[in-house]
Amino acid sequence: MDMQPLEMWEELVAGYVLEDLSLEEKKAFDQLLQERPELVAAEIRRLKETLALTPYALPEAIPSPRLRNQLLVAAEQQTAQVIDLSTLASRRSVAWLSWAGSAAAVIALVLVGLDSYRLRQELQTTQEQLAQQQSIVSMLQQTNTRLVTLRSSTPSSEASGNLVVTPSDKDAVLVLKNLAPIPKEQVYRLWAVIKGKKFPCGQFTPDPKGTVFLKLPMEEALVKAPLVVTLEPSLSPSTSAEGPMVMTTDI
Amino acid sequence: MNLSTRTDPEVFQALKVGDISALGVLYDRYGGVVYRLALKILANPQSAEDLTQEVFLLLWQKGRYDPTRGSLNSFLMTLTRSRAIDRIRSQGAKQRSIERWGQNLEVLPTVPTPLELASTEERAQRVQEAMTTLPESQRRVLEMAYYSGMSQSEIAQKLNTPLGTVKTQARQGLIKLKRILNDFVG
Repeated sequence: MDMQPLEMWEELVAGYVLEDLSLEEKKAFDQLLQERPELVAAEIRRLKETLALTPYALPEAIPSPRLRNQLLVAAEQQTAQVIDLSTLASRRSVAWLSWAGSAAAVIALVLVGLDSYRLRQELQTTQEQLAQQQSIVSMLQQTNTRLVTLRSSTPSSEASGNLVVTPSDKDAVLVLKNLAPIPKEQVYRLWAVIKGKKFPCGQFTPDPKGTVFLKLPMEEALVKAPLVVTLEPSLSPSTSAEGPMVMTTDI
Repeated sequence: MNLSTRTDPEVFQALKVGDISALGVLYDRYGGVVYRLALKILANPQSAEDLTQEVFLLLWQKGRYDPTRGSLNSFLMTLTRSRAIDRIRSQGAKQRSIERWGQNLEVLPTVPTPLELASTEERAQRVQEAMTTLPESQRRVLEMAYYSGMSQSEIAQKLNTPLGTVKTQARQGLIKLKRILNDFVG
């Protein structure tokens, strides 16, 4: 069968994309596809992309602002594993949290989003823990739990984390991941920056996976003030903030 | 690492390895238009928000979007449209395989197009301009087909127009749009 005139085959492919080919047209289309598969495929792609642009002509409409955070929490829930603390080796200078502890602690665990492939092999997730995880996340979505994000200050680092604060708790929970390992002569310190001054909030060393959990007494300053993590010599006084900045909050 | 200045394929790569900030970036880029489309079809802000979240969670489940099959925009629009139309038809009516729209065949791998590099505002402007150049009849039929999921026969009936005419109008409208947006789509 001869190649159809340009206009005709263009319409045929458009009909295919619009799903309105008659039986006869379907036969013609199949033939065209056999004769010129790449040509047809390229045309389908162009038409598909064109069609996918039509919604940009719709009047602008904006979803509510909370949808973004809600989405991110739900996505974290899908990947995070509930961690059985008893299976994790304790490390020096890391403050572990008791499971029966604050809601913020549980939320922080949910949010930690560690590499789930590795974890799945190491950890057990019970039905009960999962159920608890579900209710905690829904609580996060409903109450005014605050979430402050920390990011690495250096481009080469993957370090990130969250500070989780629920109003009902007396503790806030800091969760950091992918922190670079450090020798024992050094330690990471957390500071709240208030009126240009750094106030000490704690110090810690990451576990072999680069993770940190830290329970901090709940203070308004922690929620409102910018937070900074620096790298300091272990033996220096806890109020000494001479070292380089490693992480900061987004504020 | 600031992903917000990277291209869609680069951001998607980060998303694939589990970087949740990449999901945030893509939501910032496409959340508005996904919501807009969902709202147009579902006509209910709460349902539209639910669907918007559902679509992005599906994106987060890696493996759903294959960059060799088309642009991220195309994936998101197609997915949103098909889910939205499934919802409005879920009352007893026979489910159409709407998701087939434009996704049947293996398409060629793409290089980043001007479309992918353009902001949402730029896209809106180009598309709105393009739409105004279409004859009214073509635009109306195309929009009815896209936003309501009605078949061409249903549209023909509703507009009291012969089926053949409706089909030609829809196809010609789409072809014309393609030509106008040619440099954009690549």
